[in-house]
Amino acid sequence: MRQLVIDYVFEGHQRGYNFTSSTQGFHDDVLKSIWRAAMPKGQGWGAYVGARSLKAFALEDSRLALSEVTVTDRRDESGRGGIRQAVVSIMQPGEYQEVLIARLQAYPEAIRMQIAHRPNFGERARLADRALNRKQKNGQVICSADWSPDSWPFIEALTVKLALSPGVFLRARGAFIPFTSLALDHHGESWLVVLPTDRLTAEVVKPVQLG
Amino acid sequence: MANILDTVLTVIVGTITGVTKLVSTTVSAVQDFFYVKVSGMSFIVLGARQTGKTTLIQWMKHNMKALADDFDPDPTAAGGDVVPDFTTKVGDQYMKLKPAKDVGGEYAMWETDWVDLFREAKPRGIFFMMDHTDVHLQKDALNFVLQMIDDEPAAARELKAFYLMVNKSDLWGEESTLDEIMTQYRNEQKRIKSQAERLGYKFHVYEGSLKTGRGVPEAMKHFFNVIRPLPQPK
Repeated sequence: MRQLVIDYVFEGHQRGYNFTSSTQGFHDDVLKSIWRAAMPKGQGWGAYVGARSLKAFALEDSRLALSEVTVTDRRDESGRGGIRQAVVSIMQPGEYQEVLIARLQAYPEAIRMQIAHRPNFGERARLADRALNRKQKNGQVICSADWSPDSWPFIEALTVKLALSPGVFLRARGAFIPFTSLALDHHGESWLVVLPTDRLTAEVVKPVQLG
Repeated sequence: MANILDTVLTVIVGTITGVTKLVSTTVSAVQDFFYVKVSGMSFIVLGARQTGKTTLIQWMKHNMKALADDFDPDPTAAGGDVVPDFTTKVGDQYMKLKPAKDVGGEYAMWETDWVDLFREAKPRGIFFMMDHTDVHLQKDALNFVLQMIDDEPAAARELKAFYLMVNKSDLWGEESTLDEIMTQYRNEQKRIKSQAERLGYKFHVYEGSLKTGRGVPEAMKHFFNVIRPLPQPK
């Protein structure tokens, strides 16, 4: 497994978002794919300081990437907040499965208990309905939950569980489920994406309420 | 006899010309209507970091009215944010706009997000945001875009306008003028003018402030009227 970091640089000529870890050994096309997909979409991250988003996506060379994004409290020279840092792990599909399983096991006991019987039958039905909804462009499965810093680790754990054991309808998407555990806009986002409820727009048909 | 034949021919040719003109005007009007109201006006917003690209897109989405004082955009992250098509009031007319994506302005974004956006959007217009700070960075960004236009002829095929907006005039307007600022970009302006002539797009420089709203609505109205199929009176 290799890791890359995308962070905000505050000094020097090339200020702003950059790869801050060595990119040696990565093909340009792979780097571009990681660059495009590593950050969750949307504006207004300043209101989510301390939040974490997990984002899983596939690369052209059949490897998979898991980006762990943290919303920092840093501000740039003109006072703009909502600055994020992404640590992207690039791995083979088998390794990816193991990493997700390990992540799931590392959640606190209370969260593991909470997700043990989730998603429940109703949630599975709504997820399937959403996945099969042909009116929705690209069949994106958009979920939502009320945001709070304390409740979101549960939502994240549930999303990871869904990615690992998606069930028959979500599995129809393929063996790998691209997901984002927290985004502020569903446009251009992963196939399975979770948004805080107040970030849903009217155009989202039948979002799956989690939580 | 010859005179009668001449007259008949003149009438026939005149009628055909008139009908052709009418058909051509009608087709153009339909095309213009389709583009402005149905399909949407394809354009992109570029510029170095912190020049107001995200604010401009948000401002357009709000019918080109001043944004709330607490509007506080994040620096746009790697990959940019998708901007769905939206309808907004430009002058006295509603237009459907498709800026496609809001992209960041850092160096690292140019080779990736800017080029991707240019290729995907094949825009009819480029609205390039600048401000009064960091001349070297603005020059680099401007030259990158001009090179990109040359290097990507398929994406540049529909290009009708390249507009420069020197934003934040509320900050520099009392100490400086647009001409003084643009003097520093003499070579870049020459390059744009030469490219504009070669590729057949319109080039204009405007000043304004998204914070106060001054100057920007006029520039946008002008811009959209240039990139639509039937140019409108300014």
